[in-house]
Amino acid sequence: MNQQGANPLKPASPLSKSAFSNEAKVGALILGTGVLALVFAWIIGLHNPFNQAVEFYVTYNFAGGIEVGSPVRVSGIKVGKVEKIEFFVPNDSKSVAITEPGSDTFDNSKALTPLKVMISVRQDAARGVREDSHFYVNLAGIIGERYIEITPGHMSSPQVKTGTVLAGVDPPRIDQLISQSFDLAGKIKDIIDENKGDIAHSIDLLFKLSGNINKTLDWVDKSRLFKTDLSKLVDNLISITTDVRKVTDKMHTPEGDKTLALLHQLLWRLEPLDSKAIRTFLQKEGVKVQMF
Amino acid sequence: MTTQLVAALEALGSPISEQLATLRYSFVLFFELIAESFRQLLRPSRAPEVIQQIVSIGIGSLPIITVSTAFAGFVVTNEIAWHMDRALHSVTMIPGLTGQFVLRELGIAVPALLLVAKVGASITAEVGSMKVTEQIDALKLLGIEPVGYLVYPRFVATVVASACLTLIASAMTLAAAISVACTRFGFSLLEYLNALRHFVTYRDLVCALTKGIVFGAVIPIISCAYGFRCKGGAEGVGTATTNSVVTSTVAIILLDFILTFLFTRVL
Repeated sequence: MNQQGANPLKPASPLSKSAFSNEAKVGALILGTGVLALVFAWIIGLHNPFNQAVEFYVTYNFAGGIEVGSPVRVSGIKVGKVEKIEFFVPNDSKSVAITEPGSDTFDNSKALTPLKVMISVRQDAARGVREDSHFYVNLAGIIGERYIEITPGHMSSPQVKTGTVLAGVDPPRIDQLISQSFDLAGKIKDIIDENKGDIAHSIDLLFKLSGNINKTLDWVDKSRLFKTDLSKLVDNLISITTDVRKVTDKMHTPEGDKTLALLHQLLWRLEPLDSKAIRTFLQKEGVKVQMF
Repeated sequence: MTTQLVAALEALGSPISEQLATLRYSFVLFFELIAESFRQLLRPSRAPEVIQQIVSIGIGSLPIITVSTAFAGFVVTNEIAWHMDRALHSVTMIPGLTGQFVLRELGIAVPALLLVAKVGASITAEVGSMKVTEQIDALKLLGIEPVGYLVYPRFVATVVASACLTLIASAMTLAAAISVACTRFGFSLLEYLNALRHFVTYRDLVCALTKGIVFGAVIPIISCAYGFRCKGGAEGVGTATTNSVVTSTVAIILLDFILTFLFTRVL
């Protein structure tokens, strides 16, 4: 040990307390916190530096509750999300949404496109997204969130690239359906009100008819004539159909087929026979008869 | 009889009026701090003290906060899973619920309360001791502004340290929650993170940082206010320290309620 108390045989550690000044410690704390913030940002999906995605645009008239961050699925698998939503952007040839679900009619008369949604799709999944793909707004379950479902397009159609603008399919509007249902219910009510008398009369007639039918069936049920003769008739019908069944079963055998073939030949032979042919035959045989 | 009644009323009202006077002084101190911040922006002169305080407050509190929040994560995950199993017979939503709860409450409130106990008490005791030994009066005689010399470095250091410690504590709590979920409930890491992403958004992160900064600002202000108003020798220092910890704790809980309301209903 030297006079200062330090051991010369033990070299000073580079990680001794004096090597780290307060500034270095604070710097390490801030740096560590910054790294943690980036990790959190990656965990919550805010930012992923390793992700390569294709970003393109889909336009809608009505998006049915889609929000920034809503998932995007291709064939049911989540492959991206909605990045941005713009309102009332200038129109271009492909940017207006398909207004009727399932229809291919583009309505290009609007000056502005109501919604332009930027979506990002993973590079590997974007291979199946073509310019003829359909972009539906679906609901995940009964109380689930809205998401965009992409149906893969045909391989002959060009693959979607970054910045491409495509038309989406507007989801059905429940509020419009409800409004139309109200209108329909109103019209039905008006029809019923206008024809109340006729409808009541028709219902009376139906009641009377059903009453008469009931009476008739009661009479049939109680009548001995129907009971005995009807049951005999039914029994006879059963036995006839049983016999016919047996005959047809026999006809479907090889012997039956032969019999039918012979009968067919005989009938074809007998077909050209008429009075003139019979007379000619009998004359040949020397028989004089008065026929026909 | 009348004097006894008056004395009883004084005994009841005196501590309350003292507390209110200290809280009022806290607001005064806050505005003085804002003025000092502008002065420091123009002529920064307290950087070495600020750095020293960050080391003392931030790095000095790291071990206790890390360990405490890790155990808090273990407890919370087990509790949430048990309750979900009882109520829903399913534990699939553990990642989302724990993630949001950690980032919005647990990862912020626990470190803040630990900072109150460790740092707030220390600041009050230090400043209170200086007050009762007339060192603060000596500083004034020397022309050194006590708020700038004593309060400002601690204020900046606690705000910075609190923000950093909030993130570190949240990460530690989540790591503990993930370990419980993976070992006890059969989650894989990727499964947990994937489920977490569905629930946790950038708003939760902003909420965590905002609360951390606000709590970090409140602790030194209240602690220094009690320290500056300390009187009565060593006993007075002890009383001031106790009161500052209690008041800081209540203030943090109240502010937590206000900020939670803001982030869930308004923002």
